Amino acid sequence: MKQYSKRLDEHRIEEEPFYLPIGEEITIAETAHRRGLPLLLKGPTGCGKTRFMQYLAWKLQLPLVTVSCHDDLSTSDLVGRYLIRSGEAVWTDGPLTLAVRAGAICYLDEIVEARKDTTVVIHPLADDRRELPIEKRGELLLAPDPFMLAVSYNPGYQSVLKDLKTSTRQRFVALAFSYPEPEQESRIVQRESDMDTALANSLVKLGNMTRALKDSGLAEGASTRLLIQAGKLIAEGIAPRTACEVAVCQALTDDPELLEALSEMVSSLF
Amino acid sequence: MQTAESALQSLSTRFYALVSPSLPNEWEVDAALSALDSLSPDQIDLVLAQVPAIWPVSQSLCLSYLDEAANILSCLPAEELPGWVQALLDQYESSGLRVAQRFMADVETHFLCRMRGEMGIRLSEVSGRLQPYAGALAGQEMPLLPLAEGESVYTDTHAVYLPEELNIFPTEQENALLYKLIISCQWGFIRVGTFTAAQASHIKEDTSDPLLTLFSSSNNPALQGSLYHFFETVRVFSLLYRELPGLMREACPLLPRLCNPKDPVEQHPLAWLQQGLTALRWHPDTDNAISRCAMDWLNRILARPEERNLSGSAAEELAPLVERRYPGCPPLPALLFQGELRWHEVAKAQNLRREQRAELFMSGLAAHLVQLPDFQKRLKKDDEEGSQQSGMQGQDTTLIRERPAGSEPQKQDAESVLYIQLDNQDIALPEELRQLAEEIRQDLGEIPAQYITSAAGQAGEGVAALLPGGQADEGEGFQGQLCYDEWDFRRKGYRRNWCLLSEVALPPVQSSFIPTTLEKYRGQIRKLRHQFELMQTSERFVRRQREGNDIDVDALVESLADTLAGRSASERLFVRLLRDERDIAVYFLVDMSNSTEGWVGKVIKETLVVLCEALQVLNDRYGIYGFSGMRRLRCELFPVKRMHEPYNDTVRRRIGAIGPREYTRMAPAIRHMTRLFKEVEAKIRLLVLLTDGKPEDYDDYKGEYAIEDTRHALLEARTAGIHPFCITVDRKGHEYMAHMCGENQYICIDSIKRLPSRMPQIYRSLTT
Repeated sequence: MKQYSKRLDEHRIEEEPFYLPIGEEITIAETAHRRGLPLLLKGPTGCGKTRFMQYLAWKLQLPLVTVSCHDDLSTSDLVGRYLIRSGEAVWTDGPLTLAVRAGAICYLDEIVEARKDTTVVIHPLADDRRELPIEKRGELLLAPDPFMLAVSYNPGYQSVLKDLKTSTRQRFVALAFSYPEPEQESRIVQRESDMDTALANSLVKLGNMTRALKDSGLAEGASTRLLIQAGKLIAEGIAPRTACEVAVCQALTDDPELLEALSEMVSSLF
Repeated sequence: MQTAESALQSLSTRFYALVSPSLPNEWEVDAALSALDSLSPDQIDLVLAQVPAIWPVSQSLCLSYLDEAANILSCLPAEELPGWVQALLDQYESSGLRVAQRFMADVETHFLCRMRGEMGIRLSEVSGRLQPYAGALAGQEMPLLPLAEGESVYTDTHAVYLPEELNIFPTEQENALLYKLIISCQWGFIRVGTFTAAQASHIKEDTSDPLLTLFSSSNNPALQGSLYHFFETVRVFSLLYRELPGLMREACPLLPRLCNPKDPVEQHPLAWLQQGLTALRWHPDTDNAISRCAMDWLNRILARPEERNLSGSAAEELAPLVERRYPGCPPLPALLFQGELRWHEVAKAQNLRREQRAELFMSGLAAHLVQLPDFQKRLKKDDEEGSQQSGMQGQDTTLIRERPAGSEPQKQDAESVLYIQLDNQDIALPEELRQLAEEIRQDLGEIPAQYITSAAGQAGEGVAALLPGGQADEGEGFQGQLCYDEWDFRRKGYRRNWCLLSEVALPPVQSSFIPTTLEKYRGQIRKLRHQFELMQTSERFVRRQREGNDIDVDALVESLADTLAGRSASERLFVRLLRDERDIAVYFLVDMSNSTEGWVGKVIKETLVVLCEALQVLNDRYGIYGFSGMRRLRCELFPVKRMHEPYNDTVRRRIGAIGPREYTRMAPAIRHMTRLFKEVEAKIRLLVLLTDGKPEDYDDYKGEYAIEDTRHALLEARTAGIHPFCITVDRKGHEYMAHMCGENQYICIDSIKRLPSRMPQIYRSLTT
């Protein structure tokens, strides 16, 4: 048990992360946690899903075990596997098992990237059974009350092929995230990148302008994260136009014509 | 006199020799040639040397050229003439005779300035980057359209109308910046609410100038109107300085050059007002009642730029003061970027938008209704009962509601239209219609009932067109009709639910085609199978790995035994699942248009047989569909082999049944493939398009429109994670394929005979 707590300590969040609530998401998440319901966060990239989870973990004073899903993620990567140590087979918990044992929050980021046969393993954890069978050990782990399962995905850019299975999807309390309102977004950019109001407002305007280009060939507009990155560069003394060029325009597209259009926006705003 | 006549004679002989075999009117030629009188023999040689280039393009242009030649050579160095003629022909071909003649008339501005690097810039050159800029600025589509000759800049709140060319400043860059300033300024007028609905609604189509009508009570309505326009511009500029500081910083140095007329005598007594726009700071020439009043209002406007009625009051107060001091004072001339306030056009555009919205809503709703199973069932029943009216005209219980009957009112959604009621049945509006319905309701207060009856009527016809002849029962897997959007490049947006696509079964044909082909390509097929076998791999466990999913018990026992025996033990004790299998799904989409008749069609069919035979040895999943159709309402897709169908005799016979049909509307077929791919899980999803020419249909679907729509359909496929690849046997394919499919995303096969051998090669290189 000692060993678990040591491994888990790395996942504790000591300082309050900055999070600006947009609606009732915090109350809902806390209630879901109290009643043992799993959470599904959906929204475009860089709009604050992961930050929300960090904030929630801090608020609930629970360790946050994050797994970034990819298509080679196997069930044993999540649950655990036997390793051989000095001639003995030793069981090692995967991050999911670790979180369940310790009653932490397990956050599977970009869940749709994982193969569907892998995601099935969370099913018994995500309904009222709240249990995790570990086949290889013949063990059935019952999740303690504080344990919470959260997953996230981006309905926008990923191919519909990677949509969540209905049987997976219909186990969650779903919170939809989107880009904040301009005023709030500006506050976030200011706070995160440590810059002044006027420039932050212009950055947010740029963000909204790029989001209006969604039908003209841009897969997704600039995320709040991109704006913050541009803001950080500006705050460090990089000229605003250059910062936007490298942190926003070039990050959004490779299409030469769209790049020119984006540059026109930047040169108008800064 | 004699010599002049003989000179003309010899000129005309030379001319006729140059333009032979055509025989133009003698007196026209003589008239044109006599204009060359004043030129030296060398110059005449030079002028005539250009005739063979111009004559075949346009005879009238050539005669005008001869007419003007003397003038042209007076200001153009002789060695520049060929270059100038090139430019002239470009002008003619892009814009016609009149523009070319204007180009000829003014060599100085149209040619020499450009040569010296003092270039104007054309709208078409900048619209690529300024169009998205305008859209992003407005937050919605805002087309940039060219103005007619002699008109000044304006906006109808939907589009901005700009001069086709700007060459006010010496450099291209400054002119492009001016375009940007004009666009931003016109957007500003919309944004600050200059054209509010209240004002526009006062205007009737027959009044001459709405601005004058608005100030008709004044002694000098034109002056007052121009002052109103000026004060509105101040509000716009204050907005632009706030919102787009970068633009204003760059554009400011240009402003004084726009404000100062060349002739100081023409200076308007209020010119200082306009000059102050540069930095929103005003310095009146003199201190008098006019300047005090103007400054007073300017300060008030700058303090509260968002207040809409200040400009009107300012103009009302200032105009009489100016009129008293300068009786009959002309209106303050509007600057280029201010343009004109054209309320007529605004009203027209708003009406047009209302109509478009209505049409979009009706067609969208009709398309939605067609897809509802209940609706189709009911129509069928109506048909069986013999009612020819489809039961739709008798609609009398059409209501628009915000919730299903009998449910609790929803407080939060009370503002949006979610349901409509048709025949006492609640029909939920799909997402894309909801917004439209909401816009209509904001505009008109409610959704007129006739919108819905008419949509139901349209839907009735749509389904009725599908039903006759029991076509719905024909073939397996018939899915009914599906609606697809179509991209309209002119409006940079989709025509929603524009194409109706249906899957039509191909009746298998028993013929000698398959055995003959198999025989003909026997050697090749054998070779291909061997090549393809080498590509095959599968998911498998690999033993004795350093790490893996599970323990390799054999290796572990061995290692323990080794340890006990005192030998060094292996560390490779795990089993790992190796997933390097080919996880590929492919759809082949085959052009079945009329143009494939004969040789082309036969080779395409042979290619499919060869390919399928070779693919037998691979586990790649693949499907084959043919497409054709006529007009947007009858796009047809012919399944030859569905993805999960095995390659068997029926499929072979269906390949035999592939034959030329109608037209090539590619995009709906591509969109349908994208939809089918959504149900397929595979690492690589490939869409191979096999065609013999440009996309084209019976209606206006051709040329740039068709290519842009197809390009967009392919882009959509790419966004959905599909790799499209086009194979064309069109020899002229290079001209458009790169744009339509993207560089490296297509291949042109110039010799159709090589297709059966090339195609499997292409497939191999695409998937390994």
